[in-house]
Formats: sequence, C-alpha cells, structure tokens
Amino acid sequence: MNELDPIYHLYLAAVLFSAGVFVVMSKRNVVFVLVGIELILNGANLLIATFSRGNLNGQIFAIFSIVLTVCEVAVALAILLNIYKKYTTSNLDEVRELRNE
Amino acid sequence: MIQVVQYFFFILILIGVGLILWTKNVIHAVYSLALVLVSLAGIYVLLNAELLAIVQILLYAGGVVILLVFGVMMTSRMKGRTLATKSKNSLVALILSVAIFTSLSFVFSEVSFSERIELHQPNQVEDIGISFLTDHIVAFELIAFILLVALVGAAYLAKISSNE
Repeated sequence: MNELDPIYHLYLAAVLFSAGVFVVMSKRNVVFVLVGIELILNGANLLIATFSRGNLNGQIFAIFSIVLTVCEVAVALAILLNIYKKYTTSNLDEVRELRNE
Repeated sequence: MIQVVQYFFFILILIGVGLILWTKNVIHAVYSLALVLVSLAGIYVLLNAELLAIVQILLYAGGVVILLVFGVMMTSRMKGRTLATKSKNSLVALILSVAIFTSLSFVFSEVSFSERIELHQPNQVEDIGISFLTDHIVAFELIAFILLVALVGAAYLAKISSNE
C-alpha cells in the first residue's frame, strides 16, 4: 500500500486554515465570511482525521464537529435574514448598531 | 495508484481554495466551497474514514452549501447590480494568514508518522454506531439536543423576520 505520506495532509490543512482566516478578515460580505469559517473548520476536521488514522474516536469527534457546524450555519442564516431586513444590506461594515434606540 | 488519486484531490482542493480567494462573486465562492468540500470527502475516504466522508457529503455538500445559496438568494439584490463584494484590510489579512501558515508549517515539520498504522477496518460503520450508543452516549445525546435547539431557534428567528 503505497499511500502518500500524511504530512502533506497536515500542510493542506494549514492551507485551508490560513485561507479561511484571510477570507474572514478581508471580505465584507456576510456569506463570504461564512464561507471562510467553513474553510477554517474543514482544516480542523482534516487535522483530526489525519492524526486519527486507524482510530475510530477521531472520526466520531470529527462527525460531532460537522454537526455543530450545521447548527452554526443555520443560526447564522437566520440572523443574516434579520440583519438584511433591518439594514437591507449584507455588508458587514454597514451594520453598526445592535438595536435602534 | 493511490498517490495519483490523492494528488488529484489535492489539486482540486487547491483550485477551489484559490477560486474562493480570487473571486469577488459570492455565488462563485459558494460553489467553489462545494468543490473543496466534496474533494475533502475523497481525501477522507483515502484516509480510511469512510463514515466521515459520507457525513461530509450529506451535511456539508448537501446541507451547508444549500443554506449558503439560500442566504445569497435572499440577501442580494439581483437585478441591475452585480454580486461583487469589496475587500478591505487585504494587506493585514495577508500578513496574518501567511504568519499562521508559517507557524503551523513549523509545528507540522516536527511531526513524524513513523509507525505504520493498521488501516484496514472492514466494519467501521458498525463499530462507530455501537460506540455512539455506548462510549460516547452523553456527547451523542447532547449533540442531538443542541441540533434540535439550534434548528428550532433558527426557524423562530427567521419567522420573526418574515412576520414584521
């Protein structure tokens, strides 16, 4: 079985993580920021899966993390709908206050 | 042969990440994210994590990407305007992400996978299912409860916004 050295998977996870950080910090659209968060979480999941080859516990915790990500995206989408209704924009810089007094 | 398939998925992931970084169009970024997620599922299969690959395709490529597309559809004014989004603080973000990548690579260069791990597990899914209901029963029930609360809460928040 001539599989690739798993060290490359670690570097791939590092690429995913840092690309996610770049997207979260530089883009101004809410959906873009969510895409960046997905990239970061996938980098973490790839690390878990790589370090736990041949061990089922790592897979179980990666599945838990995926389920938590789904929860996060669902709640974020609901909040995004409320923000868009109030401000009619999905640009994060124009959302400046929590509520109108 | 396995190496060729692995390089293929690696290249697909790098193309997807590059498209996300390069594009200004939100919907293109979401579809590139779908490419990245499906290719990651392939890498999970090659890492002998089959159930994780299936969950990745079902929940990420089938659930999260659809939710993000809905988010784009409901929050972008399609007619007359492009979906272009602006970038800001690009230099600071670039410096920070390069610093993170460098430090992570520095840590990973110390890792060595010297010992051979026995990868062949024929009835993985059955073992994971038993493990969910025995060893990890508390975490399993908690995650189910959190999922229920989050979905009901999301539906309630969306209902508030559509009623007013």
